[in-house]
Amino acid sequence: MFFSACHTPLPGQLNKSFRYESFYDAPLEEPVLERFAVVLEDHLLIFLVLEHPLAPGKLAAFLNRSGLATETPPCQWQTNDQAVELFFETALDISISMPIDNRLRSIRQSISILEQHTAYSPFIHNLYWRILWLYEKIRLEFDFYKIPTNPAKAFSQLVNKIYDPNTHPQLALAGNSNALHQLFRETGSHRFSKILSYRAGQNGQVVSYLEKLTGDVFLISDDMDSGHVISHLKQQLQYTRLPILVICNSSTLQKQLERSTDIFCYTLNDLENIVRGYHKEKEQLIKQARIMFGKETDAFFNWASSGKMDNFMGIISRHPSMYRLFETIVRVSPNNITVLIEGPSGTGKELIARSIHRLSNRKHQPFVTVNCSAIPDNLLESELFGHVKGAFTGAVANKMGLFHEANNGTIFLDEIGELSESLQVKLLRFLQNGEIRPVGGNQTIHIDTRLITATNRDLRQRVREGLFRSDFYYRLNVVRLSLPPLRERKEDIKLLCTHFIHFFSRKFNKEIGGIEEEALRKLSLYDWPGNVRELENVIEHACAMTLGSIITQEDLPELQASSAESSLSDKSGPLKTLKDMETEHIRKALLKYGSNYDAICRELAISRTTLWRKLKELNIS
Amino acid sequence: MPAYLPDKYNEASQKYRKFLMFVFISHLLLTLLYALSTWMYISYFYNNTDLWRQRVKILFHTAVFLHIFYFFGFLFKYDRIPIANSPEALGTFVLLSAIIYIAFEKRVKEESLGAFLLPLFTMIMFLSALIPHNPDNISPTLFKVSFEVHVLFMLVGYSGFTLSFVSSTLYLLLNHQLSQRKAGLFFRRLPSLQFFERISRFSIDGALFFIFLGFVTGSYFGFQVWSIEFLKDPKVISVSVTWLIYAGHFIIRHTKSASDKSLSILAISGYLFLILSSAISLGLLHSLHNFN
Repeated sequence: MFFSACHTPLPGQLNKSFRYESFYDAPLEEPVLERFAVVLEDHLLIFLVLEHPLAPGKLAAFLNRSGLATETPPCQWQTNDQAVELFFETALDISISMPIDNRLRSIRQSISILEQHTAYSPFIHNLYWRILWLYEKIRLEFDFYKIPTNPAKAFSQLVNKIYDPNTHPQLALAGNSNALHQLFRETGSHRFSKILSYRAGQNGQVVSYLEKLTGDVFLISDDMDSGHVISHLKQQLQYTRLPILVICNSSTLQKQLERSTDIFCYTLNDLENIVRGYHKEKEQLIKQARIMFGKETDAFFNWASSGKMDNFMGIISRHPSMYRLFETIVRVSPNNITVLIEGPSGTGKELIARSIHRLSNRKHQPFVTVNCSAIPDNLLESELFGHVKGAFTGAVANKMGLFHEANNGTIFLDEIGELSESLQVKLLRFLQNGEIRPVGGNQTIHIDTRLITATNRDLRQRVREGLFRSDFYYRLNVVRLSLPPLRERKEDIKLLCTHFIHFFSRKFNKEIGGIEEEALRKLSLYDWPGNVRELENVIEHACAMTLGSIITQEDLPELQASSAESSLSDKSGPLKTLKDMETEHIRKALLKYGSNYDAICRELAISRTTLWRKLKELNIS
Repeated sequence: MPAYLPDKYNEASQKYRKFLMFVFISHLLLTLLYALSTWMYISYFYNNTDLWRQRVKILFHTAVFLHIFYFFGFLFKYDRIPIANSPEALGTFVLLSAIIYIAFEKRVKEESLGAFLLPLFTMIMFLSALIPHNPDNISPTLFKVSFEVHVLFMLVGYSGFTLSFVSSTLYLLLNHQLSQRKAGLFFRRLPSLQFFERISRFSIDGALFFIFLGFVTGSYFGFQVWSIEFLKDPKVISVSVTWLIYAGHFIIRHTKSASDKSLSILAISGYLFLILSSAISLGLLHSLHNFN
């Protein structure tokens, strides 16, 4: 696999007219496997995944056919690791003037359009997840994005050097200077409690305007009368004990204000100087960030060369709904957030919890799993929080609980819906204060444990029925991840089968190459009430039974319930929408008849035009 | 054997020799740990990375933990808290200040003050190791609980003034860089002027309260021992004047009749007065507070 990327200036008029749709609409050609383009202010970043390397001329020709090359200046193409590093740097580095949040939003927008046009782009998606994860990690570990990179950020920094971040000073903007108005627009109004803005008019008006300008921070342009400005600011100083910050566009006004104590007067040039003042620190942070980009590039290549394109931290899928889930996982993992995982039994909730733990800063700390329904209620409290000697019969010594064991790490509580009300209250206390109390003890212990919970029940329903405390539910439900059942992502069955066959053939010391097409179709028609766990057991059975190198229909166990029966009997999870049912039904027909559209239309009793319309509407490829 | 130890102690009992050695070595070791923490805090102030932040916390907390261990070791071994003479009181002052600083750091999640407070702690610890002890001159009255409570209140109050001194100094440093319009090191690494004003205000209020309690308990104790004469003691006068300076700070702040910059200068002046007057009253003048 080869990667090529370029980052090139985009002329202003093209920036506005650039349409991702036209880029992604153009048919993919050999050897281009995946493509990605994103407009970042006045630059265009293009990233291509190639089956074999292409000369720059041929890459330009491909872009030309995609309607891009004629619009953009010639690109300086980077290849392989340099291409991936270019992607990371363009998306995350502070040496690029575009604000990081705008950059990430643009990338998200392009990814959404890419998903609408090409459902399957594992490399691009993997890079995107890595960018999100790196962003959270860099943001949390050092002050990378707090460094001022432009005058607006320097202005915010100045305000932060006078006022606490939770204080919102009042801002007054006076005069007609476009530069000052632009500075204010770029800074944003969220930092200030009240904003007064006056355009200067005739001389007579200026004085009356000034009288109305109360504030802590002033943006004053040189068309205001300096004498009045100075006397007005001195008057303002009576109302504040902290110094007044003035940004002006004239050095004459600055010199006059400099004479007053407790007024900090900065010109726009001074703001530029502040940006330059951070040069050394910025260089150092960029160096540190690039080390992280380099490590992540290596990790990306390791993943790419492993051939496990559809494996995300041990979770195998290429379904769009799972891609959404992976995106959420990489975003929440580095942050210390409580996560609630919902999904039917056997869908891999523990795998998701483990992946969150592995992607967090707690990855070297313990990960403790507890199945709440497997332990009797009276024992569970002691198991979770520990007990002191003599707390109950048999408590012959102090015992630390599982929460204590998971200190600094993560505790995963499976089947949280089965928890008794008294334990819900105790866990609520932990979620609120981070404190636990061992059974029989009279002292609370403060612990730092991340809580991840999972359930196969509808907790909202249980809250409505009064079986689950609502306050506890809202505390758990900070981030909710809903895992779809296997029957809703049947595209993954083949991938999962391959994965399990590979695993069990090694376990049983057999050389099993794969699964017969007919057997796979049989598996695809089944509804999998036991989800991935059931599929795993079926493949284990088949691997054990097979005599050849291919799993056939005969090797499979009898799949008990029919689709209809299993669907009716399965009361877990929310009901499917009609659209989902329709999608599933058409997919079944496609699996059964392949490209024989006449047979599909006959079976579904619809016309060929309706079938095409439905395929397009339901986005079935 | 420390060089300052007079000959008479060589002939004195082994008990005193051991005691002096124990205090001297403990204070030197603690000074070393505080010095290492200071170096770490200053490095963190320059580097500002998460790794340095973790390292500095581990080392400083270890130093304070060992200091607490020493404090309780002393308490159990000699049946009194180490405040009976200047070196002991200085060591205990550093311990209380360090504990207050740790609590403050945990609450406000701001570590930049450490680079300025820790050098002070180190210097005071070093001084406490060097000042000669007079263990055979300890008055039995100094073993009373009421005396210990008085000294502890005073030491907590001084810790508050120290924190206020450092935050006021940093206020002026940041204010200076802001007026110079330079993104210097203090500009880049320090939090806001409002933050320092808040810390200074909070620590002065707390210190005034504890010093007041110290006065009350000290007056009760002093009146019993020396009757009204104790009021003429230079140390009492020095602390009373300091308290009045800070009370002035409190009043000015509440009447809003001065800027924060002027208040910072007043807070620094108050602290410098406290140090100078204490040094003069304890070192040069005869004082009841010489612990003899």
